[in-house]
Amino acid sequence: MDNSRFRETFIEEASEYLEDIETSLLKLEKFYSKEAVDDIFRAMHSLKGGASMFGFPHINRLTHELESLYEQIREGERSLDEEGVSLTFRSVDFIKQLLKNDDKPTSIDDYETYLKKLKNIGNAAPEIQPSAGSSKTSSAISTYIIHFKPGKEILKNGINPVYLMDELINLGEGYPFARIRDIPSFHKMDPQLCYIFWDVVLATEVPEEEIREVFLFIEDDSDIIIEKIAPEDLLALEEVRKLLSTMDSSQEISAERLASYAGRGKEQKQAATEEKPRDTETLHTIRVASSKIDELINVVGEVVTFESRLSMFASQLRNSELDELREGMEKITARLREVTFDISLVPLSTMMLRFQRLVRDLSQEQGKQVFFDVKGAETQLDKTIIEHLYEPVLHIIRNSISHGIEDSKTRKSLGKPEVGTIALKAYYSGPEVHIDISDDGRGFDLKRIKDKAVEAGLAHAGEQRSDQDWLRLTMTPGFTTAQKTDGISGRGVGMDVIKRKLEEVKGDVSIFSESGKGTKMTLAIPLTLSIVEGLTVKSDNRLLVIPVSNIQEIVSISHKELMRHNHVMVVNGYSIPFAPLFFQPAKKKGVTDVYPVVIVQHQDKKYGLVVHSVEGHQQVVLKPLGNYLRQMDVFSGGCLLGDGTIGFVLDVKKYITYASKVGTIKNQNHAE
Amino acid sequence: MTYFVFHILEELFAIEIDRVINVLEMSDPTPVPETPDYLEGIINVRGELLPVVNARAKFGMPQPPFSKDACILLLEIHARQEQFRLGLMVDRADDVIGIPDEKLEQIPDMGLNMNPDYVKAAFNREQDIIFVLDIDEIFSHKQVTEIKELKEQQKG
Repeated sequence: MDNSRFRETFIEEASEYLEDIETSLLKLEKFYSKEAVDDIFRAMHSLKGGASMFGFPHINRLTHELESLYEQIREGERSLDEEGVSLTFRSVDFIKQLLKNDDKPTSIDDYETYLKKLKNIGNAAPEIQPSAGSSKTSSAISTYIIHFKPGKEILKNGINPVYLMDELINLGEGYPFARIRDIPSFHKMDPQLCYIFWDVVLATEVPEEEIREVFLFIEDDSDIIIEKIAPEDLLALEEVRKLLSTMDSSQEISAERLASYAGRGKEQKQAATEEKPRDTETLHTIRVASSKIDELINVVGEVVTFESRLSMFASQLRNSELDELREGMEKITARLREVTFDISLVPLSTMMLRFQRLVRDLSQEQGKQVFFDVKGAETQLDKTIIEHLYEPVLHIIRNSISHGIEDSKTRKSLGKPEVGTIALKAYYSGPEVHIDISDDGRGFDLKRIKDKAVEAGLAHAGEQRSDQDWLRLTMTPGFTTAQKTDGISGRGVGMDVIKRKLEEVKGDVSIFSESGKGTKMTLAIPLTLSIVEGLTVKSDNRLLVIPVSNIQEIVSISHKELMRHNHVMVVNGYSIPFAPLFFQPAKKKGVTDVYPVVIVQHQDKKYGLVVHSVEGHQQVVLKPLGNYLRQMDVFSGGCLLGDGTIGFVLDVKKYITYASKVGTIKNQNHAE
Repeated sequence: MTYFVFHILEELFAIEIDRVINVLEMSDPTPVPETPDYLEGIINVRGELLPVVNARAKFGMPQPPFSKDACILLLEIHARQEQFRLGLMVDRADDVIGIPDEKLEQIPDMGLNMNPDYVKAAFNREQDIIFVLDIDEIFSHKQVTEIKELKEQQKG
């Protein structure tokens, strides 16, 4: 029987498991989490099974050792130290390599040595580290029920009891129940009083006194009862969690009932080992080859185009039955397009794991301490865009670690926190997604950039430019400030790559840097490349589409004004440079024509694009014009309009740059 | 090797058959603003937008009106690092013939009305000379994709 197909699936799934393991490891590196250990154990267990089934004996043996190791950690028989985490990371890499090489280790000796090492660790007399302060093992956790009824006047003292609840739950794991039955009816209620009280089931390793400390300042006015119900972590038990999560806030918590679960932990753990499928997450998603999604998007694009043609045809025929069909078709098509569009969106988090890992490895390699802070990883982008983002983000992070963040000693002497921070923040901004990547390292050396720029003939010595302008020069191809080539990129090498890669997805990058304080790069990327909300205009009988996101307003201009030499018009008191969009206005005399002018904005400046007529407003499916026309970049692509004609979608930014260069737009200052 | 043979005006040219994906009926491409004259425009081939190059204009030949025999060859170009498709507007499809490699001759030094880099070899068929075009070379040249004046312009 040919099992190659199964092997392929195994490899694919194994990679997913490995990713999960890495995620858990990164978590464990920051703080101990029982859940993460469980996840790793389960993943190893599944990998082991799969490896043996589909004929990957080397992976099988490796995962077996790791599984035993993590079993011991789960049972609290040993603790997980830094070395253990590092070892697991290395094992993950090892397994990845084995997966790639069809289970053949590059060196069988290395493999055996490594395995022995793992085994030794596993066999070493299991020791529980009674670590000072807080013990990391689960055995020290107790479960409490805390009843907290704040005094009614608490709000007047400026205390928000919700913050206290947060603080309380942060001590461990907790289930709070807010009791609202004391809230009077609306007209009797005094909004300045607090009527709510809480019952919390809390599993924590901190002693009772510490719990009490949370309520230190309000103890006198409040009812606080702290009851220890079991000297173990009841919330680790599935049944307890289930029970608590089904309870609503009106139900009382019975301490006896909860306490009765105590001691069941052991059996439970055993059971979990055998059957705790990962189905909770996986059932709701399926994997699809991305080429299939591309195809789907193409086909939907076709459907949209055909639907518009149908609409146009139907509106000419004026047949009510056909109209009805057309209307239905239109609705379904719109829905289909929305759904497909949504499918093609992927959250940024899909690539964050790789960066977490990169930061970890690279900073360790260079002996630096770096904290990678990610915000907004749930921000979604078109999947093709995400693919194009990987490389530039990689370059930026690598630059930050290698050249931005100083080593701990230097940082300390500079009065900076010893641990450097690289912060990645993604957020929506209008029709774009912005990604800020900032570090608190040494920043760009502006002086060196100036020197190098002059040396490379990109600027004159002593030239006055804004800092931003100077920094922009680093993105000129070949520009480098590196004094020696050091294997890794010099700060500056790769800047042009970053810019070019972003331009491929119609994105842009800007740099802010303050010497000694850090660097921030902002990547601006369009949400999607495939669908454009556009204004269709005609210019010399050619159909052009101007993205609505660029348009400010539409005004008109007389032929006489159009022929004026300075090519500037006044709108609402502002002078705006304008240009006829791809046509030469005829120099007829006495023409009284009026032309529409589409006012667009680019880099805080307004420009007028003069056209012959405005046709309408529609969504179009953007199609590439192909590699042959790649340098024809004033268009982001072409599109098929309702009647089957081809239109061109204007890239406003590129057009302004182009028109300013060739002089169609007089790019002067906006003096009023 | 098998070749697709066609006319540009009265001259005969050939392209390797595996590069000719399809022969399309003559149609009216949508012109793209600000592009060189030889770029006729864009056509829609089953949802894909493809550029169409006028072969006569590209090779600097005269431009009488096209006859009803004119057609568009859908070609696959293998440029340095990429592949892409485009249409080549020619006067008439002629034949598909096999030419053994040893029958291919070096192109003559004289009498050739076009850039010699564009032609790989020549072949004598009875009275006619057929020129084998190097389409990868013709369409991978940087200059063909230029937008008039744009790239070289110094910043004003």
